[in-house]
Amino acid sequence: MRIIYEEDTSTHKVNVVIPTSEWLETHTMEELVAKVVPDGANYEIVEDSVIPTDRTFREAWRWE
Amino acid sequence: MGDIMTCKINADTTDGLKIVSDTSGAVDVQSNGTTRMTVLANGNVGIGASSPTTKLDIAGSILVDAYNNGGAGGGIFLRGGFLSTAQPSITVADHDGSAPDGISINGNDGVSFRTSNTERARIDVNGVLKFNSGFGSVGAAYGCRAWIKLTGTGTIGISASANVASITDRGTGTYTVTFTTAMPDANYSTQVTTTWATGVTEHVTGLVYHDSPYAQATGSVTAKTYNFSNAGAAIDASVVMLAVFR
Repeated sequence: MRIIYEEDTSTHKVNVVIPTSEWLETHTMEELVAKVVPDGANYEIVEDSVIPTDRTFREAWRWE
Repeated sequence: MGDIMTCKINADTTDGLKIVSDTSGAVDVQSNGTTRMTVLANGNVGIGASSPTTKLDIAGSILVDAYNNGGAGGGIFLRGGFLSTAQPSITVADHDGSAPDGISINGNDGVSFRTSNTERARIDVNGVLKFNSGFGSVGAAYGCRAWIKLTGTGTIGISASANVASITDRGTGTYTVTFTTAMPDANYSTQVTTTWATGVTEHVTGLVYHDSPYAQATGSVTAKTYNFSNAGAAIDASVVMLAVFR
């Protein structure tokens, strides 16, 4: 699982959060959201497969 | 008969039971024809030891079953009159909330570890771990507080880590490492190492942000991998390794 969130509402830049296995042994994804996603930011918990593997245009990824 | 006259077992209502030797000889307790316990004239007691050299000399193992009798905080206490884990002691402890099957060693002004009668490491009175690796026991050991190895190309993945909750992919070559347990302050040192695919001639290295746009904080640090032969442009490295020291 991954967390994607909108870093900036003006640029709509997207950040991708990857949890460590050590975190998931004792915590949930929702707890990680509370830890890393800024208050009020748009976010979504998604499957790994949702994230593109081609990072050629990584800087162009935007929140829609 | 003479020996019988000077050795006696005495019982009365005021003194309880006494096994008395009025001679300079030892008192032996035997079973099955073998001496099991010896009390020398000087008061040293041996169990399985016929010539005890200390107050209590045991030839064999000792069971101190604090686990089943009182649990955490029970054990061996090394200062008279103080049955407390705040005093020098070796006691059983419950570190994970399941059972008192851990050990706690306490020394008021430090705990030392020795080999060949030489001090090799010490936890001093302030909780600072010191070890003898050329510095003697005065050299503090500074810990790696968090580390991670990640793949920075294709599908970003984490190979291994410690004290890291997550990484945040912020864009090309930019990763925020969030600690599971925060640092005591933001004045820690971070090392970033990168590797690049075999045969690629890019000059990739890594650094961490100290201020804007990603300030080094108690809870996280952000690393950037970049190509220093291309005006410092951010670039994904195949492997990124980061370690935090404090």
